[in-house]
Amino acid sequence: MAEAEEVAVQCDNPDCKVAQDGRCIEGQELSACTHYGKALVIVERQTSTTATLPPPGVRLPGAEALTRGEAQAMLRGQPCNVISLVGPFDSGKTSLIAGVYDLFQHGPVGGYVFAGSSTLRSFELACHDTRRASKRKTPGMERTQTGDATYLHLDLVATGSDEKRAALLANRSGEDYMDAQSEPALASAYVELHRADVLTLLADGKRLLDLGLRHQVRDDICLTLRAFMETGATRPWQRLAVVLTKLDAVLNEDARAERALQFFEGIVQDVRDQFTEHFIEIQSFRVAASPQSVKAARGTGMVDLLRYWMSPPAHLQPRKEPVVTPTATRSFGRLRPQERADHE
Amino acid sequence: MSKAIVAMGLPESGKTTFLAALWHLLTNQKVPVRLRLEKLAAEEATYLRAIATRWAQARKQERTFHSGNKTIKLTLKSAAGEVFDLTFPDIAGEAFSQMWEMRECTIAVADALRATGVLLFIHIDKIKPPGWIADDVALAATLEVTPAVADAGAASDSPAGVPADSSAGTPVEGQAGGSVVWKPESSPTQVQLVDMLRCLQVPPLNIGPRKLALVLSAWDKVEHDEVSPERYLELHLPLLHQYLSHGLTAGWSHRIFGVSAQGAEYDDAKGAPSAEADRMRDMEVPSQRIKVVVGETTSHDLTEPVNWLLE
Repeated sequence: MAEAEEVAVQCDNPDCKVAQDGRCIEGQELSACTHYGKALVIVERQTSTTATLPPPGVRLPGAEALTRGEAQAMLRGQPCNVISLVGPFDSGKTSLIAGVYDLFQHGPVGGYVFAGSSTLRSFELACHDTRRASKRKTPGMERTQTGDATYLHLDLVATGSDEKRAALLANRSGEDYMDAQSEPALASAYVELHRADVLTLLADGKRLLDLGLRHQVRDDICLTLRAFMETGATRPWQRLAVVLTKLDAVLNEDARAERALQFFEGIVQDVRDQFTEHFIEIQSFRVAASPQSVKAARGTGMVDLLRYWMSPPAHLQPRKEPVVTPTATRSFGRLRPQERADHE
Repeated sequence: MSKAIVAMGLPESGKTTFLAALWHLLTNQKVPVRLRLEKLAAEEATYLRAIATRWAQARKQERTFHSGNKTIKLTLKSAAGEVFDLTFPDIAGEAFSQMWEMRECTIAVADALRATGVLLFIHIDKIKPPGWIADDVALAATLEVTPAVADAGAASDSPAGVPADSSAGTPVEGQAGGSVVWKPESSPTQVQLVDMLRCLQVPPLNIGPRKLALVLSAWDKVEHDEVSPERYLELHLPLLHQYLSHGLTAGWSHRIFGVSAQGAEYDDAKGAPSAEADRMRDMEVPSQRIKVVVGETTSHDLTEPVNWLLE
């Protein structure tokens, strides 16, 4: 009997230890947790053939997500916008990254033209579960791996310009960011936050529909930001995007949609009230990167978000500093040259 | 004097058919061409004769994968009277797929890929587009039908008349709906080609600026659509089109050619004779099967892309 009960305890969040300690990793009541009770689907990762075979010929450059060192090398070599995506597990970080890449499969997007990528294989892997080739019934998304942040790279050219500017999209598992709420010092090691031009915080639309969970969405956003502030992980020249993800799921619930959207606007207002002085700009977006219903078209809201991500980095903008004229202590020092009429 | 170009392309993109038609054109001298054959002797002449014979008979070429990679050397003469040897490796498309899938190539392929002139072949009937589940769901809702999933969904990726891609991946055991894990070969054609071009611009294959002639083969299948090769690329391979116009390293130049080296669909090696193939055999001058479209102009001169690369 006891064995049967143990088998019944399950959660689809692989990091949750509810089966061992009976506690939800997200601090929820078990009955309120959206992951509790669902079977964890373990998909065996494809073993890389390149790793197992000896190289018989000439090795070509990789096309996987960049490590921190590779991203830093790119930052030194060309103009880049670093975009950090922050949100809990399953809030849609990978969907946003994959969604913006996939828009370029149709042509230029929002005044930007695709000009290359050194991480095409990782983009393709991220997109796979939203594509027909996956043979899935509904779009899914690859889970972000735990460990140090990785960076996906897109070279873009703005219409009317010849200069390439890279978008480096930093992706880190949601658990890492959520851990910073209880242990803010962790955030100081998240280097992608220090260098980010746009910090992007995600509010999971599905959770906003749930009257119990929506408050945690607000707490996750505000407490995470506060942890970042307290550890000095962010910079005052950064832009902040607060993004409502899974807009299709929200719009699909006719009766609750309006309330969820209003709650989101309340979260945005809270963020403005608490953190305006810490960022150069704060904007909100509503997106459906990979919708599962027909209530929002694929890519809804992504064009505006892309434009915001690619805004000229504020730390490179010239600032007007007040002119300070030193006052000399001696009378001789206060003499000014006499203007001459014939002076050229 | 020796010059080299390399013909690249994914499997069955039309490289060998192009070479067969080129050899026929050069040896028969029935239509005006920019480059002429200076000497009949050529490296791999037997192979050239074999593929040109199949071409003249309007029969499909054997896959290079089975017949082995060949490096052809032709002695040509330009319109200005310059005589030169042209090295033209006929490499199996699998070697180029391997660049994307395995991130490696053989030393011989790497050497060939350091040529300054690049012919990149794309068979317009074998373009694998990206396809999204969300778009299928939206379309099904509009049409008020049940969306196609699983195998039916994969089959709809393929252009009409082309078998569904069998390389998408393997089903995940225990997962509802028989979904499959990602495999590199399931990626869209335009993504694989962009990556291939990127590899030519970074070590160890980078040699600086090059010329790229992009050949859209089987152009006869879309010639009635009245679109230019450039416009076709923009419509059907938009990611590649953007990359060509904004992503290539400074100094690179490119030109897009619509090429029908075959003229029409030929008999399959095992298939019944087709009416189109009979129409091709019926032509008095086989070289006139060939069509080369650049912008608004059309000719039978298959040496045009090669000549542009060597200019």
